[in-house]
Amino acid sequence: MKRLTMNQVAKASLKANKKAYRSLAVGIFLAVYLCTAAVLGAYGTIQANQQKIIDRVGYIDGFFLNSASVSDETVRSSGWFARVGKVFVTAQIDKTGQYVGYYDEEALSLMPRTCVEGRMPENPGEIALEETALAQLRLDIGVGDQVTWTMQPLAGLPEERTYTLVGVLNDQSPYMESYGSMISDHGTPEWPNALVYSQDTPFQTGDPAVHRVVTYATLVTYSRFTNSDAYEAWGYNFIAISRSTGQATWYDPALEDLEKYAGQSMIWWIMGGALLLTCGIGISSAMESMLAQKTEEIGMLRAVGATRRQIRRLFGRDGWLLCLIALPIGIGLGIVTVWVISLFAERTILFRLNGWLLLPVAALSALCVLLSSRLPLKRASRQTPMGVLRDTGTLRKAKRFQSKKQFRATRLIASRQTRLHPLRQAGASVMVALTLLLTAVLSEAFLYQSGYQPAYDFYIQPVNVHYTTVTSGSLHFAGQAAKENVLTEQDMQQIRAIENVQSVTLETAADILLELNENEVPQYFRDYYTEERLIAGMSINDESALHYTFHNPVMPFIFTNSLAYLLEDTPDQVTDLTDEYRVWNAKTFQEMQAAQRAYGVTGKLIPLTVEVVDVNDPEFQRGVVDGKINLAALDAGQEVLVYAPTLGYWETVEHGETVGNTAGADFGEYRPDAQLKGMAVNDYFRAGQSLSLLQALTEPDNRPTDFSTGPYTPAELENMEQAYRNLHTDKTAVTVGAVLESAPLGSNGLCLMTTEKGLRALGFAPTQPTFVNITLTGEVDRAAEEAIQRRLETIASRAGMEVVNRMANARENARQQRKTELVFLGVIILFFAVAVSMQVSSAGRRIRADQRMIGTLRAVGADESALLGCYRLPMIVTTAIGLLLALCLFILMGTVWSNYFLMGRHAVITLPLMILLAALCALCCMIGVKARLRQVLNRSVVENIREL
Amino acid sequence: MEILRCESLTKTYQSGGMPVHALQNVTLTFAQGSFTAVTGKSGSGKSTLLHMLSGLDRPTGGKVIYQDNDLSKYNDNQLSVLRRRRFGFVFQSYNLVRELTAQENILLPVMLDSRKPDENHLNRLIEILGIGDRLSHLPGAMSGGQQQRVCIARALANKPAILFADEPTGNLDGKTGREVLTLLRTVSQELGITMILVTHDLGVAEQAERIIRLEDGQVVDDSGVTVQ
Repeated sequence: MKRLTMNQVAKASLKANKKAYRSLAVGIFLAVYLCTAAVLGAYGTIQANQQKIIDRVGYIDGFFLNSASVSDETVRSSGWFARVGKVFVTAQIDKTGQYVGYYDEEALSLMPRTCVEGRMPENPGEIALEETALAQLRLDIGVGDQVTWTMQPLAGLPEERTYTLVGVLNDQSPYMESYGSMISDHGTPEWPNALVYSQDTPFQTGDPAVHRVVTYATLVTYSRFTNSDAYEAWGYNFIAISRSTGQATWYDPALEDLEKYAGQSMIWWIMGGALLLTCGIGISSAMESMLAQKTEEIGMLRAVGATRRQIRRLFGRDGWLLCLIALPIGIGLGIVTVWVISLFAERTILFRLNGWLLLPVAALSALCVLLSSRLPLKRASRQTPMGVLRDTGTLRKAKRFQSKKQFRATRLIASRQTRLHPLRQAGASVMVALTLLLTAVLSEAFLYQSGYQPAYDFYIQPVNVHYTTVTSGSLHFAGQAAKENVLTEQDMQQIRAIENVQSVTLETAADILLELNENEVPQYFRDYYTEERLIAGMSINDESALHYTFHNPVMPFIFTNSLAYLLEDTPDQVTDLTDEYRVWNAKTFQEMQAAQRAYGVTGKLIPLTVEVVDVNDPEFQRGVVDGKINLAALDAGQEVLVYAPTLGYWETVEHGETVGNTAGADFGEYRPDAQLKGMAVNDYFRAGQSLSLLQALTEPDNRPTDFSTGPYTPAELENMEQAYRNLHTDKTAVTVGAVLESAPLGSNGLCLMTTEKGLRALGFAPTQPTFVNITLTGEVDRAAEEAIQRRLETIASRAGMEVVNRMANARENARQQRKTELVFLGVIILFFAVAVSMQVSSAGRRIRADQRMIGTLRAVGADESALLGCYRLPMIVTTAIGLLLALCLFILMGTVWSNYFLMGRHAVITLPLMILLAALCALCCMIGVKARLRQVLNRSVVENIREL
Repeated sequence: MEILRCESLTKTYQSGGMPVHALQNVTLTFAQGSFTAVTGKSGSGKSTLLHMLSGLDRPTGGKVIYQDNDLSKYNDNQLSVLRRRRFGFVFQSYNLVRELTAQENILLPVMLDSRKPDENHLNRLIEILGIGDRLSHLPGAMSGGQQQRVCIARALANKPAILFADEPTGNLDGKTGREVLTLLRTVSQELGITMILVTHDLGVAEQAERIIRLEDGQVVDDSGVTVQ
């Protein structure tokens, strides 16, 4: 006789009870399916993230800047890296900020270059330029043309060279430079924007700079490497690029919305997790009701001597067998789903298959099945059904019929059933909640989108918002490059000349120094910077506060310094300080005095910005408290406006403790119990006053070197003064045209203001990022819009800037939004159907199991509506719990992630919608259950109660 | 006085394509307050007859008339109302609702009718049946005899006109069976309830005023009191 194995018993049981297994199979299938979708989706999101980095800088894990001093042998034998490529920078083109160099073979394979046009240089004398480099050089040449430049080797004498342009390359250096500027003490590191053949005739003087690009050896991670001795020895100029997490990347516009990506892959996990939980509960309840039908069988098996363990294994095995069947189908459908989603969201999710991913999918599904079937199995093997029913602890004790109010029999049966089998409805509740929540999110998103209007039609912005600053001691200088990477007056004129352009406004600012006439610091400055320091939450008595960087709230570029320099007249006045701060203060005074001597000024230097504003805005007219705005004088650079707000500082004290402090120019907005502690009122600027301004910029070859920690020796001071003197300095005297006390400037505080023309006339470089906002006249057709965009792109690329088409963005956003909304709608319909069918099939299972009870009730006179009542209540309760859960989650999401979701903004519409949908869900369930009940009622009572 | 009658009652089941005649042309009349036993061998059609008479199942042919009303003209809901107001049932396998306590099971017909229970009547029933200390128990926690008593209490709770009992003692031992039967008779007589009882036990049948014997779906013997 053949041996009977557990598997055979399980298989036979599967075959015999197809119907009963259907819901269990669906639960397990859904678990596998959702696991696959979640894992692949999250993986695809990460992959999409990585692809963006690969598109820009290739497959490197990091790079060493200026690593010529380290030998190849040292790097190779260190064991940290699998591949090491070298990038050589030979010379600067015509003093332009563009550099020539070449990649070795390994570097080329690690950071593939693609030719937008033409080919890579293959012979001496050939050159290929990056797209932006070509635009920024403002050359009107194409592939095949020849160009002659004065080349400046990194160290040495200039040489005249003639090259043939053979190709236009994709951009890579801007990204490398922006990564590199993070660690470079000397401004933007040079990365070749133009490539020549590696065997090109070398320059006679100066060795090329060498950057090494690397990939880690197996098992090396960023943190392991940075903790190593090797990193200590040559690693201070090492930059890691983590493709896998998207972290440790800096100033890459591709990753500006890093949080968004993290959020996206998070959404996969949250959604997947929630659905998986639902599946788990579904499997659990399916398992439970299946086992409930088999109580007799279990009892019989126990009677013939099966141990609890054997019973668990026997009935658990059904689950595993179903799992095996569901695995390929679920995985297949999951893959298809993610593929479809990736078609809709091509840039945020990449469809990438990886055999290794099947491992977590299988493990997750198995875990889900294991965990969710464990509880019902345990219960089934431990307890007899009679045990459950004998549990009368919850029921009332009664010996005689007491005078009680009449009650509904059906409601009683329903509630008793729900109480005895609480698990059966939980899955459906979660499903209802998810459906409603998704509906709420969709409705909020939809309503938000429909109310959105962009402010401008186009704007032009810098490609890489990184600032070419140079640090020296406590002084910071903008690089000369700030002067080059801007749109010229001709560029602006060309933009204005484009047809259909209605208005063009420029937003930028120049960081400058204001020279005070005498060494005495006016009270306004003292108060203003003291108040501002208080905004930053610093106590006046705090020692370190004396070193608080004082600046306009925008950005401290040119110049930062200690407050001590500003508030104290001499170093000696700063008393009661520790030695460390005393040295620091003394050093600052020395530096500043050196700067004063270098620039030939006697008064103290105050950092300010000159903001480019649109003075035609009537707000500016209204803010004038002294003098008047003379546009012609501003344009000519003869006058500037001064925004000198009156600043107040309030403190709110509760129970003797300071609970809040505010400072600002607006006097009406603070708590009534706040006390005004101090004010800064302009007593310095007045119309007609002459201001002496200067701006210092560095050039690559005259950077001030980093000085010692101080105090300085006379020789060091002499050096420093000479370095300051060598800086490119623009100095000008200008008259104050008008003083304003209020201005529509956003967060800007005390500053000078002028027009776009005025800034050029003053001769100052806009050292802060430039934005150009362009509005078109009315509606233009799509062809005209594209023509305008192409024209703008040509102009913007000359300054290394890019054009953002707000109209196209809005259209694209709306399109994406609609796509997403459609997907969401599909998911909602799916969820709704699942929620209804879960409830209906669960009720259907119960109706089948309760056939005898139904027959009995019919025999004692229950009609259809009364019987329906038995199954109505659990459904209403389930739906109501789902609704409640959804509302709780909605409120939670609204409060916790108020920055990301605008939850509740349209609650007047969303909440009734949720309730309506819940009601609809309950209605659909009722119809479904009615149909199921009819099947039983169509039989006669006798058939219902007949022993099965 | 007649309370229930059936005319040419026929019930045919389909079993494996072959028609099975469970009842053939049965015509009977039952008097108010009478106690009738229906006997016969297994498969003789006695349970089927009871189901037809009580409206639990619909006949293939013929009709059942309760107080001049033709039950075949009643729809399902009307039948339900009739069952809960005028009829009572005692089943061989008790058929109590296992989620409800004994007390709740007893109250079921009253509750389904949304009426206020007659407390005196119910308390008397419970006293007679001796199940006062079992009222808060679920059926699973009671013995067969106790369950059957609850079942009888349920059947009598709404003071029905006719009590149908299908082998009420079939699952009980001899002593308990006799006790249950005595109770049934006592209560029915006291309340003037017409009782129709199906049994294959001749000892039980002999306690009835009238005995109807069925064979192959036909009445072969009808002895005892007949309607005037």
